[in-house]
Amino acid sequence: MKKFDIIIIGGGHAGIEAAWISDQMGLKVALVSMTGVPLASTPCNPAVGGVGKGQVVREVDALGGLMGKIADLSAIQYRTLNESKGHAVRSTRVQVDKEKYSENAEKIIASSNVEVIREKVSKVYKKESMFHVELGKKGLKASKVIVTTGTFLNGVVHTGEEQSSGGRIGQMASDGLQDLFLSIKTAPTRFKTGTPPRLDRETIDFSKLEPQESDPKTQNFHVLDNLYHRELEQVPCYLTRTNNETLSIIRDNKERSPIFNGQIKGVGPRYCPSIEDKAFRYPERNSHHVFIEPEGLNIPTIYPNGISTSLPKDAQEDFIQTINGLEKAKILVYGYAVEYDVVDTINLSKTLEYKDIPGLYFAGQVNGTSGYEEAAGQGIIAGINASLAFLNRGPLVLERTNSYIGVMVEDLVSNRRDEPYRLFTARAENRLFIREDNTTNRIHQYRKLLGLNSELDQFQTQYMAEYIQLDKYCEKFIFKSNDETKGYFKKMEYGPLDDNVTLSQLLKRSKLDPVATLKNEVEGFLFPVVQAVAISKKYEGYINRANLENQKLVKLGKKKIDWEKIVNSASISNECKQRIKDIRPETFSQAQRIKGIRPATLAFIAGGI
Amino acid sequence: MIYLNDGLPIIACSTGTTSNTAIAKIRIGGFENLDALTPFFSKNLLNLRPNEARLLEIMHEGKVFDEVVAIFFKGPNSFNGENILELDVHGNQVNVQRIIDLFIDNKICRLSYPGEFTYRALTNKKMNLSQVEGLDVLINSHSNFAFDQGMATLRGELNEKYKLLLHYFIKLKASLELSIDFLEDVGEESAKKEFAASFSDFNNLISSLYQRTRGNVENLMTPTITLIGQTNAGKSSFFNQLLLNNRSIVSDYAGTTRDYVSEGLSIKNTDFKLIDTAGIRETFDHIEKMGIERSFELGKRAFFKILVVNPFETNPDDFHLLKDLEFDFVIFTHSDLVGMVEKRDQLLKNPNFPNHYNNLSLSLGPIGPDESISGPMGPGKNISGPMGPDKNTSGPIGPIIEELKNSIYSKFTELCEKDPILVDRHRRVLEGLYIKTQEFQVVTDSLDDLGIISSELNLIENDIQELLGIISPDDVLASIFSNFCIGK
Repeated sequence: MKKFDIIIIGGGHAGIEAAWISDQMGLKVALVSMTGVPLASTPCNPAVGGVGKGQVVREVDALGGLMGKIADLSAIQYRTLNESKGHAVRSTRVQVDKEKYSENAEKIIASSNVEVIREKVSKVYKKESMFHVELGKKGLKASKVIVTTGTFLNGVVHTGEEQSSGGRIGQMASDGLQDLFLSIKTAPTRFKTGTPPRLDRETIDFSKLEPQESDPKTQNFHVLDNLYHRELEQVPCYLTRTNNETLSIIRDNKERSPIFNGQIKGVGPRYCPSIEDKAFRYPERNSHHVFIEPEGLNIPTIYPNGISTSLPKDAQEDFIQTINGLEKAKILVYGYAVEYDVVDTINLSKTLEYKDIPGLYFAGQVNGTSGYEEAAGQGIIAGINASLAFLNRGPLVLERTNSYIGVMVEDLVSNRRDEPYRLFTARAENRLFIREDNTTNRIHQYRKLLGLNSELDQFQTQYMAEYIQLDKYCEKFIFKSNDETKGYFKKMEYGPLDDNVTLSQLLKRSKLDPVATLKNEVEGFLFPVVQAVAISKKYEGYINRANLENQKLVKLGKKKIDWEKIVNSASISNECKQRIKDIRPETFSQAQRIKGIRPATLAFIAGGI
Repeated sequence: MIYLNDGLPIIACSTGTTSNTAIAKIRIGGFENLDALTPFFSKNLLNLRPNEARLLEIMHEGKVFDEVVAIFFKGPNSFNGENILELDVHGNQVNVQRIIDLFIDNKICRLSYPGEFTYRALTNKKMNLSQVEGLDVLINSHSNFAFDQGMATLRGELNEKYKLLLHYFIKLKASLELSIDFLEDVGEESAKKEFAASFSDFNNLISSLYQRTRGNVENLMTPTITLIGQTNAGKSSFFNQLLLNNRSIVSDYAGTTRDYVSEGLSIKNTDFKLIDTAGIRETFDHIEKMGIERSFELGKRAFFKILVVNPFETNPDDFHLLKDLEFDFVIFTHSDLVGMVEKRDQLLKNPNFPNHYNNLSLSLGPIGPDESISGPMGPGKNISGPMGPDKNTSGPIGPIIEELKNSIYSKFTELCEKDPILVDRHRRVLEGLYIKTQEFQVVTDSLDDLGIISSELNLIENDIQELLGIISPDDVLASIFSNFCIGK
């Protein structure tokens, strides 16, 4: 039995983040992945980032994770979403070359001390304080185990009427993880996730479609990379739409859809609906966007984003060919849905440790999230915390007030999921403060606690020093209201200068782009610093106002509560008692977030604080 | 005001302690069981079944204090969720006090704070904040309207409106999220439409709720009519005339203070507080000046303001004292005297003459405790006065007073018809909400930055939560309960 400090089961996005950071922190790491499954594969949309998710990628990057780096190395199209809607809601999204992504992931992991073991896990059990992971004849043991098995837990694949056991098409389900896992509480609802068919690139008529070129102004994810460097050749994506014909074929095939005929019992995410979901939920709409995304530079398949389906094969062929530009399209891989069990995350603590089995952690889609970015975020948190626990140090918990990762982890452990969890900017209460451009400001305090001294840490130190300096400068520097400066203002189109104005006040002017303005006025600072200071200044007033209003709530939210005492009081309804017993909230804000909790109960709890 | 959550049993007289009545109700609440109380009664309290009235005697050390009717309410099936023992005792205040002292001195319970029984209803979740506020209105209202509204709030009807407001707000927030997180799925056009429609729904509701907070709420809880005028204008005579046959004996409005005299005036079942203020005049006397200022303040807030003017003894220089007021009626007295009409018209033409809606002229005859006043003022006197600004009719003073009272009552009903919201906290929060909503509209019209727009929207959310009592500041509770009397 080979002994490790930590064993990670599952080589997906969560797994590699956990493995990498644990290695960085000096632990002896084993990463177990099934044969035939590439590391960090992108089985669904070959894209990283997006609204809310781009922010997570950058947060993972700032903590020292891999996703940003790998994405930059593998990206073939860059876009900035919500570009015209203000800096707070901007998100970066890249299309990646599927093969290159996994290749790069393998390369980077190979460059570390992580031992990658390609075997199927047959049994996991705990003896004394050690976990034993059996792989057929061999075995491993460690005091910390992180499970990142994704959709493989009791996975069943559906393509129309055909079903097979698997976590993904062509890949076996991991039935072996049953023993320890018999004692793991899974969520009462099975989840499902679906994916669209893959089309043969050669059979698509691109001349009929609207191109979306890669944006050269979109900034790379990894902070140590040159902002605008493009490692790979850039290609455009294309836009087309479904039409009446498409939708009527889908509607005609309702009985043959596993989602609607009851074959699949799992619940899919509402916001990532299959084309069947869209067809039946919005009967009046017949035109849905379909984004034609290349899966790689040298890969023959196209990923049509927006028509995820589990209809039978012939139905898939029929409706695809009604779409503009896809009339002659050939299907190389049919669309399918996977139904799987997920961990009941209310049994996890904020470090993603399973409360009843110390030393065991869960991260990624196995917790009921959907999305590579959400998985990576959990992976790095579980990895950091398992390592800190191993080193007998205190836990690292990110706050929901300053990070999307914090929002996600707290949401996961505070409520039972009844559908797959995906991050949106809407989940964060203060979007103005949690932005892409100020990731280093928000995350640096956490990275510091790891006590490492890599290139990333040095960058962050320099960044913070420059930030403080530039911030002060903006407050101190005054444009005097004299003729010469007025003329300058006119030339630069900064607006009027009737009174003296500080640089900070200038940046707040609503007609100006704060970043461009600040860039004009200072020299010698890192561009990311200039960018972050400028945008922060612009939003300063609004953020302060929101903070003031929220102070009462935030103060109240942080107060600790004694859930046992509350549950024993006679004044709470049985329903609320049950929910509180399930979740075991530790603070008032956790209680607030409990689904279905009555305002009166909250008032009662608040009154008792 | 700090409300101790000490959980000790409390006692209070719910029917008040200011006057003798036939029956008084004493409540003891929050005791664990009847064991501790049994020694003070002639029968074993443990045999008392909940919700049953029983005749008992209160006894201590062999002496019978009183014969009472007792009802036991077993928590949580009681008004405030705790065990309550209600005692109907003889309403002599000496008796009431003696009984209360008996239980307090023997350490069974302590005297409750004002409103503490209801406070416990709130903390035990038997009532929500809105209902408590409704109770406040109910207890302290002096008009049918206010009472009805208190009742409605107690029954949660106003709360329903607020829940609808929350619903619209959530829709609005959702439509904004649509634009940020789902733009690619929905499209710019329909996202914008969705947002505009949601905002319109929300704005309309908050505007109509806001309209209901305008106006002086004091006027509906305690509608006041003030008589203002110079010394010797005839205010006091007029005061007495109004009260003739209409003095309200039921209300507690009767009073005399340094600054004014008040009485209850009943018009069609609504009790108005009629106030005769100190005479207004320019003076160097400091104390008099303060008195005048105080009654002036009073006058300003009244819902119906009457200016009483004696055209013969009016000093136009004093008008500036009244320049900020708008009077509902001006009464010109001494209309029986020669030259009155000319003097009156001269005053009316004066640009500094206070603003007013209507004026009447009449003669009030002699004042004083000896004259008998009945029907037309004074034996044989001739009363004349226009019923409106121009007319010149003569007749007994009776109809003039009637018209005035009708005017008062219809102004009051008009106010009521606007269905104003009386609860202080709601008014405050709704006003804040309305202002924030208008500011929000400006932001959305002028900016494209969805981050800022969503942040501003969140400011509104806090207020809505406060309205529904989800998060309420401590001092609010204190101020509500200070309006309660002990025993409730």
